[in-house]
Amino acid sequence: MIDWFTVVAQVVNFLVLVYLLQRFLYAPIVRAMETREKRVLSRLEEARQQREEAEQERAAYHQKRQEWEAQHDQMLNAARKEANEERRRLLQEARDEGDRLTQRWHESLRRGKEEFLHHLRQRVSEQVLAVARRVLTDLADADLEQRMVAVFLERLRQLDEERQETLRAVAHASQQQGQVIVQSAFPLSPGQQQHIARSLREQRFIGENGENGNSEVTFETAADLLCGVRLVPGNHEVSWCLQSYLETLERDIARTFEEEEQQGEQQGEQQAEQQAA
Amino acid sequence: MNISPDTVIYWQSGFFKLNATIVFTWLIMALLVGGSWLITRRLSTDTHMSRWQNRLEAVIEMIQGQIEEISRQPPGRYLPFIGTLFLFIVVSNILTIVPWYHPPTGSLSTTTALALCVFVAVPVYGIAQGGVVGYLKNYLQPTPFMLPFNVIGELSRTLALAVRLFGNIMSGSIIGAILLSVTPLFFPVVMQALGLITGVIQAYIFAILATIYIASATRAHQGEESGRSDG
Repeated sequence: MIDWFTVVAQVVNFLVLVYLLQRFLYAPIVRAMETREKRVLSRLEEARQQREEAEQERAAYHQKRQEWEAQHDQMLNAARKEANEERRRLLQEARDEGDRLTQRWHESLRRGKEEFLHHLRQRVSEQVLAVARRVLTDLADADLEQRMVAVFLERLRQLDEERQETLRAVAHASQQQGQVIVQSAFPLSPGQQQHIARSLREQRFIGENGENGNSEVTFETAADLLCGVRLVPGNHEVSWCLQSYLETLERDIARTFEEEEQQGEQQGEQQAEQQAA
Repeated sequence: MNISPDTVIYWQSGFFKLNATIVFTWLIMALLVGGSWLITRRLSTDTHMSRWQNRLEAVIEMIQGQIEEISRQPPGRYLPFIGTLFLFIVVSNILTIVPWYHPPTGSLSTTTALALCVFVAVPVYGIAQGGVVGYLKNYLQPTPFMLPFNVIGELSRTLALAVRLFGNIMSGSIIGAILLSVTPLFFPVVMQALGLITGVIQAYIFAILATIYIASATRAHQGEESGRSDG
């Protein structure tokens, strides 16, 4: 059954086949597979590295974005704060402006009031003067100006001693320079002038020298007196005039206005408080 | 009808003769080597490859997997021997469907030759793995009294290897021939198909047994080594 030559031949054939297949089949195929495996592994490794890098990048970007958001929030807060401050400043400005306007309005009101009072004073003085003149003329049959001079002189006479002394000293000093001035709202007649000069001399406000006595005294007309007579030796003065009455009147009127105003303001404040409550 | 292709002699000169077994063996060798050369001529190491390369790689990978699974060792050293056994036997058996083909594996001379190769390969691999002493110690396992039985076992399994393959393939051919004379139409075709399965299974069994024998020769030594290291 067994042909030993064939057996030997087949053994040889088989060994040759092993060699040839090793040479042409196994070695190249295994090599190719190993190479591919390595390549795939390297690619996988590469992919893993890339993924890691991408992950790191992502983390970095995430952090960056968070930082940016934080910064953004910060900036937004700062802007909001600034806007609030700006708003507050503008409100303050507006309030200041309002205050200023109110003040200006008050000022103009005050000025208007003053103007009105001044006007009123003038009108009242004119009226009072006219009425007084008529009344004096009608009742006493006296010349109003003469009466004024008389009152003036009477007041001069009734001054207390100390005041008289001071006035004398000043008048004497002024007299050296010919500076004793008598002001009146109306032109004085020569008789009246003489009368005044004589009285001044009697009371030793002016010296004895000079015959007619007029030369030491200068008579002036002063429009602001409205109605009255004033002795002006230097800085001191003795006067009787309507102006003082009128000033009193004006003060009274002004006080009345102020009281009214204050009442109005208090009422306004109370109303405002009630509204606020 | 010839029982063995050895008896089909084309040319003879004294001791030398050219019978069907040797001629068809050469044919199979030419087929295998030529096919391998054609395919491995242009191998791709990329992920894209030719269809044939893919098939060949699948086959090689399958063989490697089987070797690794059975021997529990890296298949690299055993691949040429075991792989060639399997490929030669499987091609030889599959070609039985070709008319006027005489499978070399149907010759007891061929199977004996292959069994002898295994018989020699077992100690060769064993000695390569653990040295001469290490290999020879296997015959004294588990006790020196087992030496004769071990030697007998070694011889008998080689004989069994040769006869098993020869018997299966030869019987397939003979059954096919007999059936062809009895029921000439359809039944032989079925038997031929069955013969193909048997042929592939026999190739698988032969290769697996060779692997087991070689692995047992090398693994015993490994086990000893690991036992020592454990101790």
